[in-house]
Amino acid sequence: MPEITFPAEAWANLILTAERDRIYLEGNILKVLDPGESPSYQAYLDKAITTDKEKREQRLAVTKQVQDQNNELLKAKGEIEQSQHELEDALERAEQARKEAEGAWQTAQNDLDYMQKRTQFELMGNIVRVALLVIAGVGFTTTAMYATALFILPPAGGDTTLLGNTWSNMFGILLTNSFSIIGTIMGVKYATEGRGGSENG
Amino acid sequence: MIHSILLVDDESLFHLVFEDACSLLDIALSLEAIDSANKAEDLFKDWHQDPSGRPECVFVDLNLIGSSYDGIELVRRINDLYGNGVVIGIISSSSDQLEIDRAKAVGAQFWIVKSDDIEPRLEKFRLQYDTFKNRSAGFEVYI
Repeated sequence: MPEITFPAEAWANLILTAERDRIYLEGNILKVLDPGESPSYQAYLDKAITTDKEKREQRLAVTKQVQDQNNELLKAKGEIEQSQHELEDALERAEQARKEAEGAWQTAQNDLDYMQKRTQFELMGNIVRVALLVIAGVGFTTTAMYATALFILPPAGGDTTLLGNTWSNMFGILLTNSFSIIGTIMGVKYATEGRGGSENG
Repeated sequence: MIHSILLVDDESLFHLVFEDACSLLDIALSLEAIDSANKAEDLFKDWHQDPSGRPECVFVDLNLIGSSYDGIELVRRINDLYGNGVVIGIISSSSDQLEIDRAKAVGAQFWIVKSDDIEPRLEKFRLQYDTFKNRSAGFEVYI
């Protein structure tokens, strides 16, 4: 191990400073400093080494304590970050579930709307079909009766004027009724579509 | 007593702990501490050209945050690329056997587990140091 020596004047100053101000050399220089044969230099060196050791022990204890606290803080920080991450994941999953539920609700709403409209169209179709059949049936029947009165059976007294007027009136009423039915259906359809549109909007 | 030690550890608080522990145990005369593998590699590149100032022993932390590679890779580079023949090993809070085997495979001579009570392990290391220096000791783990 390399050793260094100080001149007597330096030793004297070191010893004086130690006695007056309690300031000693510190650190690894103490490990290479050679006091020689002088008991006073040796005493100074022993005191300096002891003081240095005490300070280092104190500092080591404090540093270890700070290191432990630092580790605990880092651990706590890690746990908080983990919790935060889990919360963010849960929030993201909840948001995803909400979007899926909204999508399902929208799909169900669309299906319901479609079914309602289809039912309405089918109902309207049936009404129109039946109404037209009735109108056509009545028209056909009265026309057949009028034709019979005109061409097959000789009219009583040859007068078909009353029958013709009756047929004409009947046909007018049927046409009026058929248009009335169609108008009513169109009105109902329009009103239903308007209500459905405001609900969706 | 070891003439000079280089500590490579990203935890600056551990620099103080290690320095004080080494001083109290009379392990080393001088100690230099740096915080990254890249800085250590640069130093060893220089020492490869001019070995003056090269440390006698190197302690490397396993996980070096902020470095391009971990401590085991640094040990491999120092041993393989720069061939400095220093006493070198890992000092880590981990005692993972896989990592220990990796370190041994790249030429680390010892593995010291870091904990609150590191002084007894460093003392054992100090007593065995000469065998590490003359390469008569095998790989040693201080748990």
